[in-house]
Amino acid sequence: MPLLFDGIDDRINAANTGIPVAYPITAMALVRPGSVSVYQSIFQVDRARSGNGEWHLEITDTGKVEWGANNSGTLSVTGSISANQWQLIGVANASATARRFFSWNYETLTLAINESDTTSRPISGSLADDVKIGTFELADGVYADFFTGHINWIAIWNVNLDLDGMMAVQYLGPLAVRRPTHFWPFWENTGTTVQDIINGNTGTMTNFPASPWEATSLPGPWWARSPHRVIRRQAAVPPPAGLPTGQMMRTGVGR
Amino acid sequence: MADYLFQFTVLRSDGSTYVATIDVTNSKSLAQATVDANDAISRNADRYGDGKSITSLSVLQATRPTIGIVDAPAL
Repeated sequence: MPLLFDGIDDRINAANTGIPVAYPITAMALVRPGSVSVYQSIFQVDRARSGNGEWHLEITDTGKVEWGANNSGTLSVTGSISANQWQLIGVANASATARRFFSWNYETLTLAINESDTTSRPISGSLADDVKIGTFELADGVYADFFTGHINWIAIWNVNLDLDGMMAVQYLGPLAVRRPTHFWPFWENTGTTVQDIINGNTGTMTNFPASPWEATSLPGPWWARSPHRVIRRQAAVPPPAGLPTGQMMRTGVGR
Repeated sequence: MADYLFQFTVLRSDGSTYVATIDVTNSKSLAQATVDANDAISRNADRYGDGKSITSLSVLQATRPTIGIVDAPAL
């Protein structure tokens, strides 16, 4: 079930074993932000200081996707993130100057892709601190940018997923296209820790209420919600008595 | 429950303000937490306010959680 963050102080600190601090890196998350009027960090490696391997995936106060590294952000200029809707957000980085912002809204069926941003965002240094989920650590022990709303999963790859790969994740989930190096599915549904099921990085939940998992309305397969006409296989039934033999009548199934 | 929770406001160059919360966990006292919060936001003012400074910092919660002492179970 998705994990609900209160946007005030809920956060997760996780171990950082194997977290990539060199490009290529792809990070994606299935989220339902409760607001898009404040900065909301989905994932931050290390913390904001010079000389470490800081990078982060965030939603800005104007509803844009932000990829940042070494305590500097760069914004997606295409597409907007909406409040209270399930969206797949991701950034695939081939290098410090080549990246693709990706967002897919499961409820409005809107896909946004931006491959034009070449702002240099080098990752410098090495891992020196734990991983933050749902917050951004400004300085040691000073947490901000609390996520408001639901996060259903977070996945990281140490490759530059191509567009087909990101869309495969959109259709089939994070395990469909290529094994992530890290994957927090948030499927515990109880307790105070969450697991990276690929690399074993346990996350400790802080300031959450007793039952922060919510069986809220996760998006179904997008094609099941498509407004476009979907051709379904229709069952053939014998014709009623009186019709010429050899003719079949279609049922209303799928119309 | 957060340690020391503040609401901060940052003034932006266009005159608008940005308001959010910040949680300080490592400070021993409220006074030190206030200093740490101010310092952290100021050093990240570009992020929130185009280089402008903090205009307010108010305490939302100033109770550092205490570690509970649990009685040993009776043998």
